[in-house]
Amino acid sequence: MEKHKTYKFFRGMLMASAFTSMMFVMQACYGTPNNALIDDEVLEYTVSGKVTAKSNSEPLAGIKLTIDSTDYETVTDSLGNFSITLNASDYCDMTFKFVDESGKYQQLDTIVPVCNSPELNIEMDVNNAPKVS
Amino acid sequence: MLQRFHNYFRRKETEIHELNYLFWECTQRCNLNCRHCGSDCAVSSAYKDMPFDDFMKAISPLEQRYKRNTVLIVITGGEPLVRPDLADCGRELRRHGFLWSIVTNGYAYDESMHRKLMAAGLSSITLSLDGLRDTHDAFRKRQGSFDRVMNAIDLIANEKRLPTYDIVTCVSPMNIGELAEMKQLLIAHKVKAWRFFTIAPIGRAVTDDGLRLDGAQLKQLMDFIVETRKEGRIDAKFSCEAYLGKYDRKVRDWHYFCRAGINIGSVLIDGSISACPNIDRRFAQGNIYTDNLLDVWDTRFEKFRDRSWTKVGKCADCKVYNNCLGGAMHLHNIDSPEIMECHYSNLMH
Ligand code: SF4
Ligand code: SF4
Repeated sequence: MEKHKTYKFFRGMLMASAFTSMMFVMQACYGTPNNALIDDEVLEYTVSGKVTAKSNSEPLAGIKLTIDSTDYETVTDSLGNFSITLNASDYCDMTFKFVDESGKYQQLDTIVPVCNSPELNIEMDVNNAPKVS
Repeated sequence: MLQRFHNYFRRKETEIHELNYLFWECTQRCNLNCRHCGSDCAVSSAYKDMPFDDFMKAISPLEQRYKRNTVLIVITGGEPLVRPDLADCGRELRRHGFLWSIVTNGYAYDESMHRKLMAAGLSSITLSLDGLRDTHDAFRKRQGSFDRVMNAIDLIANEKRLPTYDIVTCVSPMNIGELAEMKQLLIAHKVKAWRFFTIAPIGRAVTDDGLRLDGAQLKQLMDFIVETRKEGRIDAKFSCEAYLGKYDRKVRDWHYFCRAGINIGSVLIDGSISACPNIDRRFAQGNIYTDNLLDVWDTRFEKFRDRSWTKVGKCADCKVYNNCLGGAMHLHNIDSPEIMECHYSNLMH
């Protein structure tokens, strides 16, 4: 395999070039297009929204959103707003974990199918969450 | 000049043979009984669906070797949507760094299915549309198929999260006269990509003669694709199935290249390891239940990577052999090395 090192390097360059990337588009007769092989990282989408308290609709700041099995994470700002960018082909019926950075509240899990909407407004039942001392 | 560069590129691709595209024939069950089906599957097949764990175990060595997002698992059948665990399989594949896609007749593809598959990270889908309403339903031998597939087309054409998709049409004497109207229909439904293939003398099509195009019809199809590409309103292209001489670059983005066994592999319903599922199954190179998939990929597949055995019959004296290398693997039969059909010759005469 080592002997093909130069070609593999060259191959990577061809794949990255807009002009020659079409050489690598694979598509068997009875198969699906595979442009994703080249474009996957490029195609992204953003989910944004606001996290508020269920009891009084006040925005919740400092809430951390993580998405299971990925490296994505973000924190709500002082108005409870967040925005997170995912790769188009990432699975997304995943658990969003809301953890108050201040340690005031314990972790709450909320399952949100993010692909259903680019906008998410989450109400957290923070009052019912057991407080962390 | 470009053709010579392509031939060099093809040789190098063959030498390194990275497995980037793996079919998984997850079921042979199907909810339709199409006239032209490339497989011999039935509504209730002799084979049980392959357990996902068996497939996952077989492909786990690929996860070690290839980078995330560089191997596409193309889930096919039968009809993959008949598997109740399809979205779970997809999610698990995605979790392991594979891209995944499905080839479907669209009959069972409704909004709830769409949501489920998108949520599981579907990265590509191919839907079949074989004519206007009556023709499509006649092909699919089921009334209402057309309406269902159009509904599925609307779902995917309006889905911003889907990295790629296309609509395929199997062109035959039954629908060649409808292509212009189909084009308008697809454009009106915001479809971006449309691919054409013809019926190979395999599967059910062996016994159905009314499905094959003659030379004049094949030329008509090529001219239609060329014209559609020039208009630029929909990305039309011909499939990988044949070298096409002067049409080759005009109906595709790049030169003809049968990548079977070079970048394309498959795990068939009985565990056989082969290349495209439409290839004569006796070309299988191993079985996941007895062999390691990567070992088989690395050390076998000689017939796919050295195609010199195809230089017989009409290919022996063919002046474009170096560009074509004896045609598509799915048009070869293990009993006789001679190609079953040559589009290039049909177009020339
Ligand atoms: S065997 Fe047929 S379907 Fe598969 S890559 Fe070759 S031409 Fe395409
Ligand atoms: S005769 Fe054989 S090599 Fe020549 S174009 Fe036809 S299939 Fe290809």
